[in-house]
Amino acid sequence: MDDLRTEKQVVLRVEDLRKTYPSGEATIPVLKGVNLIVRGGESVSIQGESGSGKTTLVHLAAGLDLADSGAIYWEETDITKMRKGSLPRRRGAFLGMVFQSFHLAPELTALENILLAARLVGRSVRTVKERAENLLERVGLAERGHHVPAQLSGGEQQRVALARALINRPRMVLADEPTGNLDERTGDRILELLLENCREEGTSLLLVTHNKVHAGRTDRQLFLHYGQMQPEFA
Amino acid sequence: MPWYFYLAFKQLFPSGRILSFFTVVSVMGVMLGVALLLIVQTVMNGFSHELRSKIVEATGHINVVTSGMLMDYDDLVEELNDWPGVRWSVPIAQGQVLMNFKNRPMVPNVHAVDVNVVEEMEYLERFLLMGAKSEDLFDDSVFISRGLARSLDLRPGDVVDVYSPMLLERLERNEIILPRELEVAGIFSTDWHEIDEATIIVTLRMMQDLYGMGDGAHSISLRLEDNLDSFSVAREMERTLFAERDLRAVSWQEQNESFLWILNLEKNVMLFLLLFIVVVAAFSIASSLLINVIRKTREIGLLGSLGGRPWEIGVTFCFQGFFLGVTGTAAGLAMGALIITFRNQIIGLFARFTGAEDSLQQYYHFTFVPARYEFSDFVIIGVSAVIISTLAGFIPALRAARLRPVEAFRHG
Ligand SMILES: Nc1ncnc2c1ncn2[C@@H]1O[C@H](COP(=O)(O)OP(=O)(O)OP(=O)(O)O)[C@@H](O)[C@H]1O
Ligand SMILES: [Mg+2]
Repeated sequence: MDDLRTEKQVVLRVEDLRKTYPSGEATIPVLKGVNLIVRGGESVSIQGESGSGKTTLVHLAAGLDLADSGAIYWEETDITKMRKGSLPRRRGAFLGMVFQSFHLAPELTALENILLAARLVGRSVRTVKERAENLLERVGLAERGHHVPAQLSGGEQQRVALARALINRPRMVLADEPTGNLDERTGDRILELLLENCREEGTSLLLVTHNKVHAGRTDRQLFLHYGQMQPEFA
Repeated sequence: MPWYFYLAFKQLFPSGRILSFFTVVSVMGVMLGVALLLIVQTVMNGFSHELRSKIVEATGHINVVTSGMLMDYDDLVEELNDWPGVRWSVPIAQGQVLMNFKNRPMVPNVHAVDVNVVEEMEYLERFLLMGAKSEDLFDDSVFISRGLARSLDLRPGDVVDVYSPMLLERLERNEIILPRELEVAGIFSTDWHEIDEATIIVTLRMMQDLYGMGDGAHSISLRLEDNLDSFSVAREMERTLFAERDLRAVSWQEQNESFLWILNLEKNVMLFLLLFIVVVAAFSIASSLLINVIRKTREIGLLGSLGGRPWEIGVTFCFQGFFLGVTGTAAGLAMGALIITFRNQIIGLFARFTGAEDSLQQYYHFTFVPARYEFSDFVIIGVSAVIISTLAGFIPALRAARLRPVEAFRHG
């Protein structure tokens, strides 16, 4: 019935996803049949208490980890059935990822860090140089492109990481607590940039956050509770 | 350029810094090992080459022998002289005699030459000290090696008594034996220790008399043109000239086979041992890279999440080992060649500072260090250093490639 409500294309569909972690003799079920749909250009937030499995869900959705059962569709492709070797490249082009830590390469400048994401999926630097500079400008770091991460503040580094996530024009951005390490104002700024990108480039956003205000700014709010997705309620 | 080469270069030469400590130290480690290897191997080549030419100088290129004594050899000498590449040939005899001077007996080797071969006599003159002339060698005179002269305190003009082992036979027949009295006509030095230690040179006629050889000789010694391979000339002679005849041509290489074998062994053992310096340098590369991999766990995980394949991530680190190896090897070969070029100045400087100039001259008998490049040394040293360094990058690479992004994020 979700599909009927809108003709917009589904970018991410998660079906009955289950994941348990071994814990000594026993196993801990973390995800107990999660369903999730994200459509083109849509922003979706996931909240949930610590340990509820949000990061686990993001990692599975990104194809970085293997689920016990269930299906994950990137547009029409079920990535749980995809050949392992071809997944990384596909992910690099399909997804942009932003984490709580920024993970910038310390030996590269801000601009080089952004361009590295393009190199990683086999694109030539010449074709994306301009976009990289535009993105730097958009995140307000036009003047800082030639600085290495050590010369940037945490908020600035996260903005570089955001530009890096967007360089390949991904269909969807997965953001796992991107503002967790930042002060309120800087965090707000990052959120604005994420949402602005959804509007302007039609990218979808899946945002994991503990910040109710941030969650309220997204199109849909979801809650992960005891390993199951609760429908949107306040 | 694929991203993994790009990132490897960037880790070696980070943006915003002039030089990376890790890169400089790693390159220097390999460089020092390679330079030392090249220097040692090249100097050993030099010494070995000196020794080889000393052997040839002192003993000739080829010895033609037969089973037993060589009789009526005049025609054979003619034939050998006409053989392409032969400069001259000389009948010789060798053995040992008992020599007595002022009641101090010695048992020197005796080398007898046919004094009629002018070329050989002219050649001998280069070994004679204090301006002695080779034409001073008569049947009743003798040339004495420097070592022998020193131990018996002999001077030109002294007269020594020489007894042949053959005299024993006569002694058994109760004949009275008298020694040959020979006058020292000159002292020689070849710089070839074995010969200089205790050798005398007499005329072939005197030797024939001492050893009761009649008109025979022990062998015919050949001198060849330069740059001829004695071994193949010897084989060729045996195949054609000596076919059907009871004659053999023994090259100097065959005559000194075990000595040459030891020289070669020495060089290979040195190569093997010194290669461990490169191995140690490689270990430091490996440990630095491994620390890098562990320190960069999260960033490596991120490379995976950004689209990097495991093998590409591995290559990023393996390539660093390879690059450090190639750079260090090139620098090491250049540094080694530079030091070899100025080796004598360096040793001279060193000797002057330590005041060791005289003892170098006195005990080691050299005033310069010989050196001789061999192309194969460059290849062997270069290839092994690069392989060892690349292997050093292999272990960290494996670790990086095995790292799963999820674990990287959780652990970091
Ligand atoms: N590799 C692992 N082995 C065992 N248990 C794990 C592993 N990874 C995660 N867990 C467990 O799975 C549960 C969910 O973890 P997850 O990181 O997904 O939570 P989260 O919702 O992201 O929490 P937070 O809000 O604190 O980030 C936790 O109880 C955690 O301890
Ligand atoms: Mg989490």
